[in-house]
Amino acid sequence: MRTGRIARAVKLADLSRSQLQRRLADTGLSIRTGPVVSRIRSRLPAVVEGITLHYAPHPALESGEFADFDVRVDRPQGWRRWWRPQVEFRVDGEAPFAPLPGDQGFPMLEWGLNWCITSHCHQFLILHAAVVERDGHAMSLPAPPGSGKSTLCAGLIHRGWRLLSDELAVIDPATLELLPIPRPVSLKNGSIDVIRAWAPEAAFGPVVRETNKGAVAHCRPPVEAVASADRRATTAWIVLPKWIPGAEARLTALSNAQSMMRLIDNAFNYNVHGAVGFQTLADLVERSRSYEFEYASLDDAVRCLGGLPIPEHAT
Amino acid sequence: MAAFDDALRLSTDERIWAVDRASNTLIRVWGHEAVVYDSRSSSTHLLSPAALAVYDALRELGPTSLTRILDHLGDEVESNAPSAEEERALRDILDSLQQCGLAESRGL
Repeated sequence: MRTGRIARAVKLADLSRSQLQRRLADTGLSIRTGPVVSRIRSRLPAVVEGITLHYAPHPALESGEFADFDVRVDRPQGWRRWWRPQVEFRVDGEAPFAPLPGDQGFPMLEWGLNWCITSHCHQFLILHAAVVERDGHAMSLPAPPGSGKSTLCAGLIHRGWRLLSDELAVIDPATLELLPIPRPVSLKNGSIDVIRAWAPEAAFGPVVRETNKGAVAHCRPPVEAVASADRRATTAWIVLPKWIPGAEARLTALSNAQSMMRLIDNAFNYNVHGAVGFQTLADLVERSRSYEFEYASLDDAVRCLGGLPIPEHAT
Repeated sequence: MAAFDDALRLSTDERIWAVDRASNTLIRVWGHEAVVYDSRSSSTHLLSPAALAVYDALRELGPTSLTRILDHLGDEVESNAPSAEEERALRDILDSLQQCGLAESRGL
């Protein structure tokens, strides 16, 4: 985690193609995403392309700077690589996951980085949630996979909301603030074309098919979101989304107690925090308004969520 | 058969109920609902309005009988004498609290 000293950084987009490739192949490319620095190594063209596209606006640190995670995504060394290419994710020399098919290098990097954060950054309370912000008020969207969370998040960030994360609500228990970790937004299956149509200006990587989650494509985080990655936000709303075909956009208020239990269901490391985790989530729901949210159309959803009143204690 | 057993058990519930002395809890109450964190089990429990009323009664009364809890809750809501159905509901809540580690019981 970053301490008081700010490491020297340039934008990744300012590196030449050969500089970027050399770092990825050799000493590692250290990228800062909010409070996390990941040193990444890879010789895979798809990973190089993915990083070039999606992390262009991110700060790239000097190779000697401290990194929280030392990550490598490359071909495993077994004889199998000659007839069925695979990719392997390593962190600090260990391979915590089974290899994936060879074309899944960039998705595996993203999933692996998520795992690194949720498994190691226990100074924060981390929820499985997208987080967006507008006018200083953050909306957390906790939900299990398949709920339409990332689609809704991608829809909102292309209509004036700031992206903090499409996957992780990172909460500082000392202040209840949410820390931005703006990274590529992961879209799956039908959502890919929905967001392409919703935001034609959005930059997409290639669609990778037949992953464990189906077809996956990543959408580059908005430049402004990366530029404001040091600006924390305070939660005003907790919205539990559920995409239901044909449903009218509908918000249903949740009691604080019900909301808290739902947050716990979607927490990665609540148990690690013990009583502090309990107090943190209880304080969080107390200062927010909580809703269940059904939606089908992004237009309706954005309109509906944009009209939410700001809770008194969040002003 | 099951109903017959239930009836027998209802009329012979002579246990003494109390908040589990070994539990170490934090509670946050919002209106008629609450969440309770038990550091012994690292578990968090949602208390419905009825469960919260019973849990509060246990905390207030100390070790006590089912009959006394019913009287106490009856006083609070100024209702008539509790029905068999209410007794059964109370016993279910007490059993649930016990399963969660928030209450304990012992024979008289």
